[in-house]
Amino acid sequence: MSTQSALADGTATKSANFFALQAAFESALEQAIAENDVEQLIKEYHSFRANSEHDKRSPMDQAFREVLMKRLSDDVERIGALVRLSVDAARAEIVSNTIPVVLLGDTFDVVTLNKCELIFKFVEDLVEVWKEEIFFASCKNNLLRMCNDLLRRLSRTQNTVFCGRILLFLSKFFPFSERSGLNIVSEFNLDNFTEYGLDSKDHDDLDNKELEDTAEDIPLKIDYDLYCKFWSLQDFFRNPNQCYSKAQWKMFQMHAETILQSFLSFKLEDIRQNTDSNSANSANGSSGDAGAQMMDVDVDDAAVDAAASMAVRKETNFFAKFLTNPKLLALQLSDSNFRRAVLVQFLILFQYLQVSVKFKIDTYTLTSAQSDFIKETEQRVYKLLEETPPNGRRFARTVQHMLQREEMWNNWKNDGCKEFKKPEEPEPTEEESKPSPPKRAKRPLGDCLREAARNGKFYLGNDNLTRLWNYSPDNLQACKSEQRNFLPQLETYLETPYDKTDPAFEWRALRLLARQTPHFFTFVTQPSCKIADYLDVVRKRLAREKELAKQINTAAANASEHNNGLAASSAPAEQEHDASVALQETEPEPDLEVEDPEPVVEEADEPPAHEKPLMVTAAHIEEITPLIGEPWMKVGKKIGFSNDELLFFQMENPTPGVACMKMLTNWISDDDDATLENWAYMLEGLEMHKAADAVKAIIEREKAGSTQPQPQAEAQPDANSNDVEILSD
Amino acid sequence: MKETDLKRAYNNVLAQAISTSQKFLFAGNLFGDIFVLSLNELNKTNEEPPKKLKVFPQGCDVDINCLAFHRDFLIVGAIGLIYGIQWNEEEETLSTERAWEIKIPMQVDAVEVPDVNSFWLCTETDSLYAGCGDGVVYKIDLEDGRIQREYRGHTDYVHCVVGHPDGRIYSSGEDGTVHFWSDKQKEPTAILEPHKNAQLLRPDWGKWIGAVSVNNDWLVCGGGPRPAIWHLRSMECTRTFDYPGRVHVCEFVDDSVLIGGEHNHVQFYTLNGALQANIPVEHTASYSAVWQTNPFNFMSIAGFSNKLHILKDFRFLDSKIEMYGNVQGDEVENEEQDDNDDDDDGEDDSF
Repeated sequence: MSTQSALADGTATKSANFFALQAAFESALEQAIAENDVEQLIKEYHSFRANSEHDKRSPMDQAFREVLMKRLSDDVERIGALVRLSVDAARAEIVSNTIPVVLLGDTFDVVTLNKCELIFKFVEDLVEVWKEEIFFASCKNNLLRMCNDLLRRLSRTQNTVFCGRILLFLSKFFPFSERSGLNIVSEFNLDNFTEYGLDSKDHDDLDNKELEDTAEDIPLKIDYDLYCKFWSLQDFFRNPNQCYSKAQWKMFQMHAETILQSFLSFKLEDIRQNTDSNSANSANGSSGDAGAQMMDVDVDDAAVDAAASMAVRKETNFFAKFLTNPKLLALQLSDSNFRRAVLVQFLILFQYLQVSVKFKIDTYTLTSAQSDFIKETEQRVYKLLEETPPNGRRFARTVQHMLQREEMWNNWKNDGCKEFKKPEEPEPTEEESKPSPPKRAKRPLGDCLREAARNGKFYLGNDNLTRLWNYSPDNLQACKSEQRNFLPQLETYLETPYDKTDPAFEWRALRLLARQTPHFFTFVTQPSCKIADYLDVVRKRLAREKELAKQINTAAANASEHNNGLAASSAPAEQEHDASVALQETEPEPDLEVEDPEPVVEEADEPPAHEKPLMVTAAHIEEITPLIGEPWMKVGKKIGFSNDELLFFQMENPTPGVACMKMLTNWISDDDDATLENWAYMLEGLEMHKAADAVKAIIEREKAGSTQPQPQAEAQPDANSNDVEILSD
Repeated sequence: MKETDLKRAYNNVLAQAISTSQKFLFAGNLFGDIFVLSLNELNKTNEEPPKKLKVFPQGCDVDINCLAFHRDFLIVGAIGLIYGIQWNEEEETLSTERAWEIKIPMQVDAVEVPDVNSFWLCTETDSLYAGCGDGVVYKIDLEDGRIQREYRGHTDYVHCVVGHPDGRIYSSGEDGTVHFWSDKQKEPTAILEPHKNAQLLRPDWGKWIGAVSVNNDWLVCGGGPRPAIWHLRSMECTRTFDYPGRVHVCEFVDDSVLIGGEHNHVQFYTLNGALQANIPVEHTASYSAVWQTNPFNFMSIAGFSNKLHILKDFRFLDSKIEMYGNVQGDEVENEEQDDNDDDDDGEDDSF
């Protein structure tokens, strides 16, 4: 045998036996490891040309395993090196593909858990390698077995981190939709009992009894105090299907109610609030662009979020199982983490009860009362979660999000765990369904642009953008429009009940101030003064200013009203006179002149007195009414009163004369066209010549005798009486 | 049976006391019944329901207004009368005979017999302070039953008396005052009038002060006016509490203040005035709260309802214990299982 091996070494033409090969490979392997180079090994492997591939491979495999065995006591790095070398060897096809995993599996079988944890790093590091085609198919089962062996050795409560690492590795290694780790039939872990009660011996009996009579007919026991109520809920969380039995549900409902009420009655305080806000502030201060983002309300939120995630990272306490000593209950109830855990349990249970799960029995359906209770309670639980510091709102949001995800997974399971595909399908189908786009695409871009430009439109190549740009004919004008102005008025903004010391508020207020009033440039000279105080001063100033302006305006309005009142009732000359008086009055007050220049302009542009329309006055009506007499309703119609209105005038007033007068007074009070000329024309049209003539006479008189209206007024009654006499004939 | 139903509906518990051995809770109501609850039953925390209560009727003419426990006597304050009954700890029975009786002296001009509204027991001096309906606080020596002193000053009946072993006594009354007394002085050392504080006054509810409680430096009192905390030496109101109802109970419990009264919650506040716990109760009004911290934390809140509310850590409602209908030796009581919409209580089918 020794000669054979020597021969093999020397010539390599004759075939060598297994052990010879193995020995040769082992020594080569030692060298290869020393130089960390697989070439040496490959060369050695190929030097035995006489042996078939099959013959050579298993000694090589064996060589690796032997070497591993010798090096097991070495440090972890060297084992890693060996594994990597084996990967290279497998790629060079000088060992079987499974060897790297076999090596790892062997190692895990014999080393302590602590060391396993270190070595598992190589498994994790090489995850991409395992996923390569040559390894995946052959190593899949080995890896799975190896991991499961490890998991079996680990305690779920002690080695949570390592367990998690293994599970994470598995999820990375297997394709996304791999079903092997899945609880396909939606079974519950019914062994997960939460034991409680003080007397353990006594309790064991009870437990056994419970186990014996299974979920179907557990006697309904009413727990009398908070402790028992609280922990009895865990049984429902363990096996949610109990909720579908009526008696159990009633018990659950009662207990849940009590527990939630307890949570509600004792709210937890946020001890870390101060530190939180501090860190939030410092985060704001430190990040360079914080100032620029001050406008953004979310900034605070983001900072808080960051602080929250920091806090979460710091906290590493985790309990795989609840501690149920009665003495702990009070402490537990005031622990926010515990409270959250229980509340989330509620949410999970509610979700299970509500969603449709493929493997739920058909009889497991909620009554409407039950689902009402669940919906209502769910809201309460979310509210409680939000109220549980620290960062309750954020926590509740996160939980909600995760439960939504859970629902998606559930649907996926209901659909038979279809493989996931990247959503590339929709695009081709869209193109197929729309044959037109390619046609349009053939049209040269230049044409499109030219046509658009000719029509005064924009063409941007994207439908949505194009539509947006063509929204209004002139975009710049559209930008200027009132609707686009989102700036609040400074006054209203300062009056709004914001937190006045909020820096964001102050900043905005100053911006508005700079835009809208000159006060910005007058008052900032006191650096010690707080911005909030300064803003308050500005607010008061603005209010005062407004008050002043109002006073001036009302004064002006009074003055002009005064003018108008005179103008309406008296002769144009007088009006002119009054206007000039008003002008003189206003002159001492330059403000008013600036404020209200119209009257002056009007006066200047006004047509000469005789061309100005002469309004009908009450005196005129009194004069003319008797001339109109009975057919006053015709006049009314001509003026534009409706039949109803005329009837009203008639009913209300005893004689046609008075009715007519009322009607006409009504007319002049709300019609601007109630001029003497119009009136005369109207009367002529109605062939009431007498009245028309009288009106014309008045016009003449007004024009001519504007200088002394008084005597004319006095003269009128005579004329009236004359006319009446004539009419009465 | 009908009578029990009526009593259950109108059970009004004004007074409670815990025995010296700290093993039994006594609760007396206006029907003259004294219920005895064994506290050890509550603390055993196995899954069996606690044993039922015992009841010792005192006669329907006795309104039990207040209770105190001294040595092995249960002291009952009724109308115009204070009497003691022997409590036999081994047999857990109250003697049916009154061991002693003290009559409250009628005032010369009094129209009606004064009722005994409040007790404060000073175990150091074996004296009992009784706040009575005639506006007087009587100091009674429990050795010989003599009335040692009368504290006169209130113009209307006294609602509540509390004190301090060093001889300071505080009494509050319908006249809206809190009188501060000292052993050594005839006149009150100070008078507090919370209703004069505009912040505290609730005009709709009057000025009476229903409850007062003190510790070394602070006094808390409330009633018609808002409950508030006062500094004993400076007599300044430092903090008010937002309790929404009229106040019949206020106590310093550990570091917090318990306030109860005509409201469907009993509330715990921190000394800073922040609401700490808001505990729902079934009482129309809560009238009495007794508590102990040794050998275990325990508090019972009673009032106008048939239930004692038990708290074990002063923050969460632990259980509610029914009184009528939950009495030992009462056979006919299974039918009420369905009538209670409220959860729990100590009743159980298995019994």
